Amino acid sequence: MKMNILSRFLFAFAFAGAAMSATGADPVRYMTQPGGAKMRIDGTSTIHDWHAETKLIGGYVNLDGDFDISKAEAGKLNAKAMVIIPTSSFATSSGSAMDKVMRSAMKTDGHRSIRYVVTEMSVKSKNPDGSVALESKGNLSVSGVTKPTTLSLTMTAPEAGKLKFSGKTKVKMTDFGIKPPAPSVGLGLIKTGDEVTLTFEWTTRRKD
Amino acid sequence: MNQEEAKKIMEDWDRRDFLKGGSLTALISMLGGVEMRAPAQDANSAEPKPPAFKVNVGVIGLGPWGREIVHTLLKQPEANVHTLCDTYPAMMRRMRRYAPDAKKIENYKEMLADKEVQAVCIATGTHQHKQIVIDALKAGKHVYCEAPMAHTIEDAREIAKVARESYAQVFQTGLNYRSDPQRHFILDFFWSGAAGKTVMSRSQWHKKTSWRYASPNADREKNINWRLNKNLSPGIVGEMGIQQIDNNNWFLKRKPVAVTGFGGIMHWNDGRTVPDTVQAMFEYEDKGNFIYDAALTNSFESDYETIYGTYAAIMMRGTKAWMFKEVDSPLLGWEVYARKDEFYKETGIALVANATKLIAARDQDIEDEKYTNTPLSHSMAAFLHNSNEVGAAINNFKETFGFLDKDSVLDYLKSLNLKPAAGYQEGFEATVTVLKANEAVVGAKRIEYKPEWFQV
Repeated sequence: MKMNILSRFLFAFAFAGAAMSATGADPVRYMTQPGGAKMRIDGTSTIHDWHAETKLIGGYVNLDGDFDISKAEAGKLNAKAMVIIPTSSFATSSGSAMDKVMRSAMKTDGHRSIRYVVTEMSVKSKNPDGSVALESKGNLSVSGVTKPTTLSLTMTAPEAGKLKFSGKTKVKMTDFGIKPPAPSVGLGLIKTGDEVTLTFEWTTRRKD
Repeated sequence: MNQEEAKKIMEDWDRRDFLKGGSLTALISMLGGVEMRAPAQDANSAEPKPPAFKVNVGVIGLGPWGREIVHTLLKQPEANVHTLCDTYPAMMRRMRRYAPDAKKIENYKEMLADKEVQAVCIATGTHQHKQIVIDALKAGKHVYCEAPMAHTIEDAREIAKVARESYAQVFQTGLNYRSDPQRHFILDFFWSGAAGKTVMSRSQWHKKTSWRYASPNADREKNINWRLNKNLSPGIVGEMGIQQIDNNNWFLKRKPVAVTGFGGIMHWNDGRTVPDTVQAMFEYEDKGNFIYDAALTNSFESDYETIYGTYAAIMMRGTKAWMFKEVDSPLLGWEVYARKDEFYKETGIALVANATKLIAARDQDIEDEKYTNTPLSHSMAAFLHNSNEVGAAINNFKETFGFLDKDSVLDYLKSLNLKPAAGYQEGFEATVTVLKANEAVVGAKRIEYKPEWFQV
């Protein structure tokens, strides 16, 4: 049995949407779609680093109908967004036994999803490659604990009608009432680090 | 050949378990060898824990093997034996005291219509699999289908096609070594090249038994003895040999290119039309020949699988295995810690996974051990785990996206931590292999396998 310990944690992250100053156009919804999502959690332990991944990220981003990423300017966006990730969808790097440890720590039976509800979204800058740096403020709910959370995001338009959000952030398990797992294994107790890094990318498609 | 890799695998073994397990395996071994053990689990961790999930399972077909499946499921904390089905009520009465709470029905379609049943194990006669398996898959159930998948290649291919289409469900075939951690452990060791270049292999299944079941009802007796009817039966090489022949293909990473069969009714001349003693010689590219023999006429040395390499021979017997080294084979280093068992004029180095667990099991009720440390028990554990994981993953996918997208679902399922098990492709290939071998036996001829036969 591998000694990695991954454990539980949860989180979510989020992002949201896009830009454009409100010019009065009717909002449009960008919906999540299969095949364009990935979230990875990287953590540490006294034995090995570990990670867990999922390809299921649900939710939506509402933006003004005439939003054009190429014309995005710094400032607040007229955007709404919600992101939902099933907590039991994460698979760990150390096999099914560690999946079980992680799910137990994340209390997946009672809290089936991680949610991030965006309350404010701003364009921070436009990058030379055409992508847009965003900041989203919102409430992140994990294992029944909700915390105000700010995320730095990058938004790109991989093709017409699609917006992709990606980012990376660090969170502490204990901030969400999760005790870093310390499972007992053959060679003794393994302790996992409190801080984990979340890396994510999420592609949405405009709903016509 | 990578002796360094082989050394590394062996260094992972818990050497204390070689010593602790010595007396146990010595009782079993017949000649001599050095025992090889996989990383052992802490015996203290064997204390019962509540299951993380439960799967409602139905079993269709309660003959001897179907009942074995039920007994094995009853020992799995993750299984809830929900419904039992057999067209012969006496079979269900037999199970009443073991599974008193299970529903007992005679029509399998009633089970398939029951939304509470998540997974079904199909252990009817091989020739009866096709319709039941297809109906079960189309009803959305996870399916465990006994091996061989069918008695004709056409039926097996139809099953495999539907299984492939049913991508949101588990389809597992009863090639139980594929789920056995012991075999996976030996497989890694073997693939590391520790045995050298493979030059030939040999397996056998010997048991003195008529293979005939008795019944006071003539029609019933005819039905339950389908294995003795050459029009319905895949023969001994198909029914019993599929596990061992698939094991050889798996270890060699090859499908045979030809098979030559021999056999006849040497003893049980009771009206049957299926040979009771058979030999089949499979030819492989680059791996030498594989000689398989099965007999209902003599039980000497029971069953085992052996692969011969230029540095060593690996012999597997159920949950045990040994390596017999040649004098010129490189020293791996761990041999000094390993238990050696004498096999007539040979010395075997024993290879066993889950050593500590096995040692702890010595103190358990022998009836428990019979159902908790067998290839079937590992196979059932994999089926339950995978059914739960895939079922939950599909629900998560639907809730996340609102619909199923085949490519994305398949991509997502690959990321899950599923337990190893034979799917439709492995099951189909093994079925084709043995059905053609049986054809070669019955016709006393050589058959060259065509690659397209193995295509679903």
